Amino acid sequence: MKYTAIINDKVYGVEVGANNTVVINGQVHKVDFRSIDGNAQYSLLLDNTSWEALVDRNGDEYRILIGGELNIVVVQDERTRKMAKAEGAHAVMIGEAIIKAPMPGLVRGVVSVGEQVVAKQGVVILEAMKMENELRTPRAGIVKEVRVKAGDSVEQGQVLVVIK
Amino acid sequence: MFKKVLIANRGEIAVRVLRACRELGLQTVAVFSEVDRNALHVRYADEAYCIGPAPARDSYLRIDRIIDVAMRARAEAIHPGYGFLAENDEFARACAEAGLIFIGPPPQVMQKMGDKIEARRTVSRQGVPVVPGTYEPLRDEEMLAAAKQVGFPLFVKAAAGGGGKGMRRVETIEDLPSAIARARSEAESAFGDGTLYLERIVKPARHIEFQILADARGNVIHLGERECSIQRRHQKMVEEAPSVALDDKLREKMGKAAVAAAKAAGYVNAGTIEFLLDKERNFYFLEMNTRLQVEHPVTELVTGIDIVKEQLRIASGRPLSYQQQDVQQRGWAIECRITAEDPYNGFLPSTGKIISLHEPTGPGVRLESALFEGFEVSLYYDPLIAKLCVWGPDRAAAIMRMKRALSEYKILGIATSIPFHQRLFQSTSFIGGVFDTTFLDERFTLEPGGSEEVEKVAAIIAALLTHDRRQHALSIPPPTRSTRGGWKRFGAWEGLR
Repeated sequence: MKYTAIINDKVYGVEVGANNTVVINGQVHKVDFRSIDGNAQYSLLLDNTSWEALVDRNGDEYRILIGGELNIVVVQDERTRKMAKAEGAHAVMIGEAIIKAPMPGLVRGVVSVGEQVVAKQGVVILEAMKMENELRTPRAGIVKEVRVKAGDSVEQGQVLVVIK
Repeated sequence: MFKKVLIANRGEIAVRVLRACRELGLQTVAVFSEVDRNALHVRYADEAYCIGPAPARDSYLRIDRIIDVAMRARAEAIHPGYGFLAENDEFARACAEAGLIFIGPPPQVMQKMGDKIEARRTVSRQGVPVVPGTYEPLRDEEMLAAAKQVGFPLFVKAAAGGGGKGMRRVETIEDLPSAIARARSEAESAFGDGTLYLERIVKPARHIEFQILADARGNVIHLGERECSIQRRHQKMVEEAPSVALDDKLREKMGKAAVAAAKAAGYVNAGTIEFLLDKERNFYFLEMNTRLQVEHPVTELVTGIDIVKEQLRIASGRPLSYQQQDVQQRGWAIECRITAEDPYNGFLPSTGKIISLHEPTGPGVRLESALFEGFEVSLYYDPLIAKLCVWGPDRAAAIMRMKRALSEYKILGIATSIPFHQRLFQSTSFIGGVFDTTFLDERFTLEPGGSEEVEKVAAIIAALLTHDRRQHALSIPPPTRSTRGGWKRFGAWEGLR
């Protein structure tokens, strides 16, 4: 089965074959791949070279930590690759950016509706773990909705601000 | 010596103090909040008492409840660890009033040095160089006037501050009013005191601190320096002893100044004098920490002196076990502060249950940790969860050993700072010892990605996992979706090969 692994705009074609082999960049490798703890810890012997990885998956996106290096990998097979192409890769740029609370905490400050923001600008200050944490918008736009005010306690995942 | 000690703290430092007490044959009493019932310090202590709900102000900061437990348990002394009440002179006074020995400096000394403005005055009177700035509590408009004298860029700092809280860097006079307002509000909420002072930014500079031991008979010695320049937004991330920036001559000079500063304060017990060292090797007193430091193990590793045991001996009225000439630094030690923060997500705090834990061991490795599988890292307390320390005969060996230990360290269930430390120990500037306090914030970035070889391996792993999911999807219902922020359980059903 052929897969496309995309890391940082770089595309790797990986073919998973029979008899514990993979083909990448036209080269055949022998693989012995095991889950260590039934959770996130994996061991890979790639042609007898030993690798350890911590893996977190969200849908088709894998966050793979190897020796402190984080690789964010999106995997597509032929079908999902075509679907993604049809949807267009620019959806993220023209859609809304929704700023959610990454953890429970206390809102210390927030932008106002109608405010113009630039990419990576702080839009919410969330106090948690004794520290004030600045939540930033991934993209520029106008603040469309502000669903919290300073002093509010918020739950993890709660929508705080919508940028359009 | 007293026979029973209460440890008014939690986490890895409570465990560290418990261990010292155990090794001295002392009985131990732990206190804990409702969420810490299963914590290691509760289980390691001889006795443990619940002192209230999770928020620190309802438990670990409740002086009345802690004193009450000490009386009930018939403890004779209290060790505050660091953080919480460690630099609270009111607590030290309450201990004295209850007839308990506070394992730390006398309350009036703590108060004097805890007020950073007063501390600056006290040591400068003894001829110890101090960072240029203000020496009086000032109102906002007075600060604006004084700022022009101090010069920009400068720091606005909280007189009661520490750990980077209530502190703002200011580039121009226009930014000063808002910085003062933010620093004041942060200082008021963190310390209950909004008094601020200004300090010129000495830059580039290294943060070098000296460990002090002082007994009640007036003997004061230093245990050499610690290099603490590796800071992220004024939070120390890595510390080492000794420092590449010092030679024997400078070490002796700074050590003498540190001892003079401690003597000026009338200091007793373990404390730390923090200095800034500029490029021309001028040093300036920054502040004194009137407690045990997080990074005390690196000093212990190179001197062989157990600082916590010395604290206990000093508090019981004994003289120092060492004289200055007994103190020798041997080899090199490094500490990494392992925090529950996601370095690939702006160091946002990470919470959750530890689902799997593998700790490094082997030659020259010392781990101070309070983690175990099943432990819940909560939002209530400091994100520091462990300290990984190594010793080597020289700096290069210590660095290689730390890299080895970090690669063995596996904490699953929360994001940790371990990947940050691994990347830092690959940095040529760090390895070369070429850094100052601005290094992390200005010249070190942590972005996803890395070497081509690792990238290829990641691609293979992702493809293998996807392949396996596709194969199993035909017969087994899909697992619950994993969410970002933790290493979620999903491998179990995959049963790879």
